[in-house]
Amino acid sequence: MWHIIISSLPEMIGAMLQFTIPLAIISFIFGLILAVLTALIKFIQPSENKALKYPWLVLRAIANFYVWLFRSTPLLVQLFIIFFGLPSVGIQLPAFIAAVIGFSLNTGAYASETIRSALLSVPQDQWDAAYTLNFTTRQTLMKIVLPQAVRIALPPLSNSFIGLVKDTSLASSITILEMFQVSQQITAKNYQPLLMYTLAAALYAIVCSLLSWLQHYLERRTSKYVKGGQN
Amino acid sequence: MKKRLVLLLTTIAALVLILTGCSSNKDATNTKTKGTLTVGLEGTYAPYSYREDGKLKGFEVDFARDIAKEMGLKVKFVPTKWDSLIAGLNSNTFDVVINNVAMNKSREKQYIFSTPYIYSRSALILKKDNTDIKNITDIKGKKVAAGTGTDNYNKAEKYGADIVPSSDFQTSMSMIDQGRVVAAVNSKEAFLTWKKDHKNTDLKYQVISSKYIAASKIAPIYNKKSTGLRNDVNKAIKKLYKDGTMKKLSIKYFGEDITKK
Repeated sequence: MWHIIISSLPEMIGAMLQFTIPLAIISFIFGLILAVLTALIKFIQPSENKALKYPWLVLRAIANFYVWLFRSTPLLVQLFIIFFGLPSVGIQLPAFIAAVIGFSLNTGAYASETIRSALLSVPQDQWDAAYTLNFTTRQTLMKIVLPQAVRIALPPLSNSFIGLVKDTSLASSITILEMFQVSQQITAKNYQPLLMYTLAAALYAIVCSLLSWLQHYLERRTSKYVKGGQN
Repeated sequence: MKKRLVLLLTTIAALVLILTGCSSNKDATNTKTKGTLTVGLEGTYAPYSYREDGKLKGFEVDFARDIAKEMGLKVKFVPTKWDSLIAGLNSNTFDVVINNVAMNKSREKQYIFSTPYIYSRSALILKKDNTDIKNITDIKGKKVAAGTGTDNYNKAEKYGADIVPSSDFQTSMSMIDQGRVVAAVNSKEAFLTWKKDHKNTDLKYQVISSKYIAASKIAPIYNKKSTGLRNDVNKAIKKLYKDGTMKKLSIKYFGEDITKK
């Protein structure tokens, strides 16, 4: 048993460093950018100015549709449509790019709701206080509301990221040789499914534990201005 | 407090139920379910097993039905993705896998086989305008689609291909079409059947010369405990050869008899 583990570890850790972790990190960065944009579009009220009002409402409809679409369909199906489906209409993407697009869009949809609820959870009093001090909406958002929202959004966002690391195993179904696919390939040779899949699970667990530890550290850092954890 | 206790107890009860449901029945019978032969196959691999009008059809579906009939058993099919098909033998998901599984040394170490029922020649499937691949030795370093853990995967690997994992036959064909891979190693019969439904395809096949790859022996595969069942199936297969059923089935699905050496 030990020699199987030792002989397959290099290959599996290699796949983890080459695909699993980069896929998760790159997709999360894109997903987060998408999420912030989507959340702001849904959060900021349309202005009274007619010229700006209608484009904003259109944007909002698009944002609503995007979040609805990606939260109400399975990630695996999304990946299949992007990788195996789109070539039928002439859009052919390399597997890695297809995976990044799928994971980013999916993470973005979920994380946008996290960020929106964090923005909503900053009390109205803070806005009123800022307006009293002649802050503009943009200043209030950037200097007062967002810093507080970040602290609130951090735990659920870390959750999304850890979820994403585990979800990258789905990329094995669109021909990417990530860690789970490699463990399947080794299993196909040595017929030890329990051992190999447990080993894969253990490696995922190690990565996710490290990430949780990082989350605790960030939480401590962002809470240092908070008295007794209350804002 | 009371609510919590109730919740805890129901959780435990649910877990116990789930776990007892998972326990394998170790009856003295030869099959997983008494009186039924449970067969694992893909169901996405024409002409071996495929769905038509919501029904499972194919050479291996008929073959399994005939074997069960010989043994006086009912038959139950469990369509499963290739990735978990052979592993399902150990978890007792089915009694036997009949899915164009070729005999090879590493499989024989872990599993047992019945007598072969198909002698199959592998083929290279590629685009019609592909002229740089003349035989299997030319796939070295090229992208080739193959299912993880299939015999075709091992063949492609042996000749140094850069393998792109594929989950089923149609996916392999799509990937050649889309230019994601240059070729696939698979059964000639599967390709010919696929071609009937895709008349305008620009894919072709080349039989791989036996000096590079010997013909595969295709046989039912079981976990190591099922020796009794295997022997019963062997008797049934023998009978099916004798009464001409095998030849009849083969001609029905492949247009020729590939059940003989």
